[in-house]
Amino acid sequence: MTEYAITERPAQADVVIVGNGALGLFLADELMERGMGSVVVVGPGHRETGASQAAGAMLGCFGETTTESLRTDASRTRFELGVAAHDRWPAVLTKLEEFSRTGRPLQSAPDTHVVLNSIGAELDTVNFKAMLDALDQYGKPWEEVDPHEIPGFNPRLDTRSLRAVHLPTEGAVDARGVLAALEARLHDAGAVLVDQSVRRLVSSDDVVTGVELDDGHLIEAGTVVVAAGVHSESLVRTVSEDIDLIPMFPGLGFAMMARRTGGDPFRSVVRTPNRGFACGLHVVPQGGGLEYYGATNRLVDSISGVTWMADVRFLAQYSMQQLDERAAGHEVVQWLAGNRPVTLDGFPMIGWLPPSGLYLMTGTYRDGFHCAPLLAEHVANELQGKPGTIDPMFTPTREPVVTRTIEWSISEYVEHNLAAWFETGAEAAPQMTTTQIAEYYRTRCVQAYDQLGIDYALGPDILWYAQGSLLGARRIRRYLRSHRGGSETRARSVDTGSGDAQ
Amino acid sequence: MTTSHTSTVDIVRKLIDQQLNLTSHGFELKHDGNLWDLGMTSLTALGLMLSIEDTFGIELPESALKESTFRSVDAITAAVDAVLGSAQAPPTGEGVSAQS
Repeated sequence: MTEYAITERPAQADVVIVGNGALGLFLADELMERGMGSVVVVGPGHRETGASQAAGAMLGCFGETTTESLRTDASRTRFELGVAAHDRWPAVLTKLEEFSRTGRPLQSAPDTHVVLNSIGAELDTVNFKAMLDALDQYGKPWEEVDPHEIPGFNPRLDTRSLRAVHLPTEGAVDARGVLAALEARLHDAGAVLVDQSVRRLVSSDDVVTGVELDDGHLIEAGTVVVAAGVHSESLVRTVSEDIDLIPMFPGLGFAMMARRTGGDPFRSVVRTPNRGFACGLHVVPQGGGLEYYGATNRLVDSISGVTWMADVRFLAQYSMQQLDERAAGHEVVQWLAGNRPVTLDGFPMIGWLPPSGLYLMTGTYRDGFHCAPLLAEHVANELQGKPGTIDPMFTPTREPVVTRTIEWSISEYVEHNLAAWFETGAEAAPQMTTTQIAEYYRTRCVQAYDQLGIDYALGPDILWYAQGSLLGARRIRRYLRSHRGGSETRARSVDTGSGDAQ
Repeated sequence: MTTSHTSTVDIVRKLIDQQLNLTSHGFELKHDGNLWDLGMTSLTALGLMLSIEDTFGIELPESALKESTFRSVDAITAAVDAVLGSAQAPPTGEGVSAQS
């Protein structure tokens, strides 16, 4: 990935983009195409811990639909980013193909099969239905198919598919091939790629004037765009601690690249609906006999390039069980771990920040790769002082977007836990009913809200994280207490403050 | 520091009792008793951490945000005193200043 990175670092550029993932590179490409002056992209060539290098890069917005996707205006606006982004990809692939060095098409799969199997619990069923409703609402093609007819699909009998649909226009790209092709195209166009990390942003009188690299080298910039994924927040904080950003958390995910050793290969993306706390189980053909198996999702305190043994087991076991039992003999050629940029309210952070000359572009969670070409157009417009092309609701200093009530959040949390319970094969005593398991999770969730003392309703992934991390819980509580989501009238106040005791 | 230590312990005991409801059920809260054996859970530890920080007006260091800190009255008191001892300002008894 460092083929085009230079060793002579520039001292100045019109735009410096911090981050060489999909968002950063697509933006650089858009700026070069528009002739917006000199562009420098700074980011380590290895991209370790980044989300883009680990991405499955499914170009699927409808395959990702959940019951939440279209339930509120805000969620719908977010969903429609994906729909609009989808239309950009044919042209993107056409222009990138000539720069590809992989020897195979950048589009690794033209279509998707979504399977509804019995192990994913009720959450799978309702998300599957939500997907079909959304496809119809937006007039997109789909057809019911016999699961046995899906090439490569060969699950164990205990997780055989109940239903399957074919989405003929949702495929996937080779994420790593696309990044390399973008680098080649940028190099060709005269953009500069610097294979390093940015240590801090440089500012003067509340104007961001450039970046300082890890080794102290300075690059002056007319504009700095931070598109460094989950690293973005700490970078922005190097200018000022006072910028009121929506909190962001690393959504650590794990995937495997495996070489098929036998049986019929997958020829399409084959996936479950989005699932408990995660993105559903999926296999993405990569070409050259390789298949991408993904993915786990675990919100964590700090950015990491490794993953939990439990997540390795989860992915390997369920791939063999639910996708193709012959995967047991596949050769894992690469372990991929990446950190999705997950915001407190689940929405992206895209917009100018208070210090002049600083733009933030991150928080895209699961589909930054997919949305990157669309967001690049929007951000390029904004940098040019033109009207943006997407809704302004994603400004990074907004109040957290409200999409659910506490009661709804609790129900969602229970449903996600039940899905995880059954998928992992957890066993309850025979006399214990699903209702009783649900009651346990509900009680726990009610207690969590009570202890957190907040009245902003969290998504199930954030809630799961807050319950398991004292650091995370404290951060979420403090942020919400300083905004509208903090419940100031906490019933359990103690009458012996330390002032009394003294 | 003896006076301060005593008052810290008293407040810590009250906050623990508020979470675990021990005295009302006739349990004795010993200074080194294992709270996790007395019904402490990850969620009550969470609430205890937040109420301790609010009450003392402190921020426990990241290194203290772990299960063992909330093991006993002694362990919690030590963690609180460590922060109070290193702080210039006296505890306010108010909630920590709002800051993300």
